[in-house]
Amino acid sequence: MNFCKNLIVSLSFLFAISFADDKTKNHDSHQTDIHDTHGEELHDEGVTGDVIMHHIQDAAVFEIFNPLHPTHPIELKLTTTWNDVHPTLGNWFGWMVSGSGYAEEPNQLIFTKQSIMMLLASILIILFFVLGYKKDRKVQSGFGNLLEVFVVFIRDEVVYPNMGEKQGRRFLPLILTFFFFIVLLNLMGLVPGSSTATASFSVTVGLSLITFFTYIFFGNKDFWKHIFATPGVPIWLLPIMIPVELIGLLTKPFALSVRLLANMNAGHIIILAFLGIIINVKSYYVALGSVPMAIAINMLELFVAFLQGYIFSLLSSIFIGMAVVEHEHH
Amino acid sequence: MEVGYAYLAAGFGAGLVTIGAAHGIGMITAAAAEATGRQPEAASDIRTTALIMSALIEGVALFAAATCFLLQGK
Repeated sequence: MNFCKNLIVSLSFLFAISFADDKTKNHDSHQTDIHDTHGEELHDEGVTGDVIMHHIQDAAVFEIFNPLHPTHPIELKLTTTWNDVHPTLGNWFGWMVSGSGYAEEPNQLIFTKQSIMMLLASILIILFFVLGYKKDRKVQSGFGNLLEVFVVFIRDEVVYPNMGEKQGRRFLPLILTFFFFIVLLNLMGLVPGSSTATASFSVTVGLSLITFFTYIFFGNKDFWKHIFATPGVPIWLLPIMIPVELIGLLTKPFALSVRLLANMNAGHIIILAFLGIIINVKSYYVALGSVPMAIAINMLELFVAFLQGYIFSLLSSIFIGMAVVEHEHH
Repeated sequence: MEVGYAYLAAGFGAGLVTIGAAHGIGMITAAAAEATGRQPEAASDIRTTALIMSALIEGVALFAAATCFLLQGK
């Protein structure tokens, strides 16, 4: 029974992340001329909203700053086609990425900036825990000690108070994954020149859909009874209560995703806007006020990175806890 | 009148949202400071609550900020 439930949750997770491509903006106008994507046309009128959006959004080309040619960054284009990897793979997997905004030809496999960041974060998490945690010792030392601070904090302050001990053990790996993944992605996005994966709809909605499917599939009978037949409500009020409860069920993942997305985007937009004032005004003296403000906002963003990861994990564990915990009957 | 009312609306909207969010977070901070003054042993619990609630309020404020951003993109 548990195996079936786990299978359904993992399949719905895979279903949810298969939507992870960004169809919003068509980047062809910037990417056609490979040698001048970042060049003069984009920056001619100064730092406009379009320039800021270009720096925040996902792109197929990773542009690395080149100190020798500041206006022509080194471009890392990690694209290939499924058929180049193995001649028959295009038939099986090509359908997934054709139709996305970046594919110049069908069956293309693209590592966009944000996918590279997500892969890097996953590899870093695996490395941290595999190399940092020594199984043969009761008390960790060194890097394992630092990781244990976070893990014990999430376990004792976030998961067990909201889900109880028994159910908490089931979902502790999920909440820990959320926390470390989101915090690492947010922190890596603060490095100048790299991109924040959580600043895109795809990643945040994917993560919040995991929470949504978890509390749908692991929900108790009590949980569903509270939604469809709230105890203590007279029966003529139920046609109003049921849609209200269902909408409440749906807004929770939406709010989770938009909160994380908006916080990450806002920070980067403010930093880019402050530094863009220097370019727009075309005077160097503005930098005396603008750069310290940008540094201050960067410090705030460090704090917000951790805080948003903590809030996402906390709210996920509250929502899953509401659905999974066995209540005492009054 | 060929003026861009969407830009005006976006600016007004962002300003109003900031007023609302700042007022709310200010009230939380005031209550937290007073509660800490009454019972200094509970300071860390109060700080945790205040931080979480501020982040939730900021989430709501940023919904509206995102809407304003969409407006000015029109």
